[in-house]
Amino acid sequence: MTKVKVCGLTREQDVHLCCELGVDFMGFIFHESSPRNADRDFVARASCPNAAKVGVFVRQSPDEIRDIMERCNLDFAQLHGGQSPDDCREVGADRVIKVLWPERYDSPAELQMEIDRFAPACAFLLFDAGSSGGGHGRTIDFTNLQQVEIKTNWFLAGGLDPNNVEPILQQEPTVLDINSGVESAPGIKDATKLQAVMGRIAAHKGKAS
Amino acid sequence: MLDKFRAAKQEEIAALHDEFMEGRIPAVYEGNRPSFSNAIRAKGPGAVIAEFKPASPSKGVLREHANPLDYADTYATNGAAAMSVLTESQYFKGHPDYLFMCADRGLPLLRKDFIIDPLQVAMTASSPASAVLLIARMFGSSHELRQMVQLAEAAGLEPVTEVFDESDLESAREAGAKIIQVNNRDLNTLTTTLDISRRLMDKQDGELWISASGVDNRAQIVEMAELGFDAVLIGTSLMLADDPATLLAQLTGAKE
Repeated sequence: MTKVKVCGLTREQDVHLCCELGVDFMGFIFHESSPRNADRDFVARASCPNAAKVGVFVRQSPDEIRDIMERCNLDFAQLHGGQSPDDCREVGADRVIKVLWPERYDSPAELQMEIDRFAPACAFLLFDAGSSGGGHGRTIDFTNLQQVEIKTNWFLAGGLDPNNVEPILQQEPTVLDINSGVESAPGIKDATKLQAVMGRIAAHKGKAS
Repeated sequence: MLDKFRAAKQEEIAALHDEFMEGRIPAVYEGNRPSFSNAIRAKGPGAVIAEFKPASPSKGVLREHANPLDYADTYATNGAAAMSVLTESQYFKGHPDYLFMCADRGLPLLRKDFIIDPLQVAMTASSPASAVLLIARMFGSSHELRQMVQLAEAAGLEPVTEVFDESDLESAREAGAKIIQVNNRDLNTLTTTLDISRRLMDKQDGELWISASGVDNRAQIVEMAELGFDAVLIGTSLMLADDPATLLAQLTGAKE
């Protein structure tokens, strides 16, 4: 059953909304240049009994990441930059989500090598659109992704919105990662869009079972 | 997760096999190997096995630049019955040399690693370790586990067989394990709960039981001792503590 992560939360009411709608992972971005950069005290306060808290880190060192995880009570660190497998292990392999950008690789074989290199060093892989960054709303290109073997659990991100989740559910990612597709403005989540996404996923679950 | 650990050991096992084929067999350690089980019985029930673990897969690096010599000293002088030493390098930042570094403080040493090949047992026997960890579910059958238990005993090591649930415990018993270590980590959620120790406790005559993971205060140790656990194994909280000596003294009950 595909789970859902809503990323880029910056407001208390959006945390409550996600919690009420049964979102499985709540993502908070720790990157100052992002329009969705989250305040540490806000993240520390955010809580929902059935959702895991994920911090998104681009430039911080493993040491800083561990410190922020402790202070903000995060369950996972999403490493969204150029971190190495050793960096993942320094943060703690069991609690790392490592982002890869399939479009960076010229061939499925190169992507497969990166998957195999990072899979042992993390709990989840996350595939995002484009060749770096995220939250830009671009839809992920499946060309490389359809030809690799992913033995570990994985997130799929990149331009997901209520209107395109259905074909993406066919790929059977472990978790759908949604950000700008359920917003009315950067960092401001839209209840109607989020409800629509959750509805589509629930409908797909119904079909699959 | 156990599959990741298994994969992480393949290179080391291949190297041991290459050396074996060339006739290089690790020489058995000739020094003193204090009895692991006697040391625990002398301080049990509820004896403390203090662990040296620079990092863990669930928390990453626990202590930068951790020196095994300092920890061996601290553990020996603050009431530990034995010391567990991580020797796995990728996920725990351990090293087999740490066994030699920790040996002369008098505490019996448990080698904590992912031991799945007979040559890893031989390598352990070439170190000052008194005991070696075997994880029941890393073996395909209780028959394979039994061979490793017997091999360890023949090499003069005390095998500690780790179990996560009832079926592991059954395999351990079929394999003739005498020292049972209950791991309190729920492998599905990766959280720790002492409920696993509470549920599995079923000590038979002649067995020695250890509760591992998720213990960080004296009240929990007292409870585990009352349940019949001869020892608890404590790693993470000691490695995270700025003053592990005081924490260990509190855990063993030497200090309020």
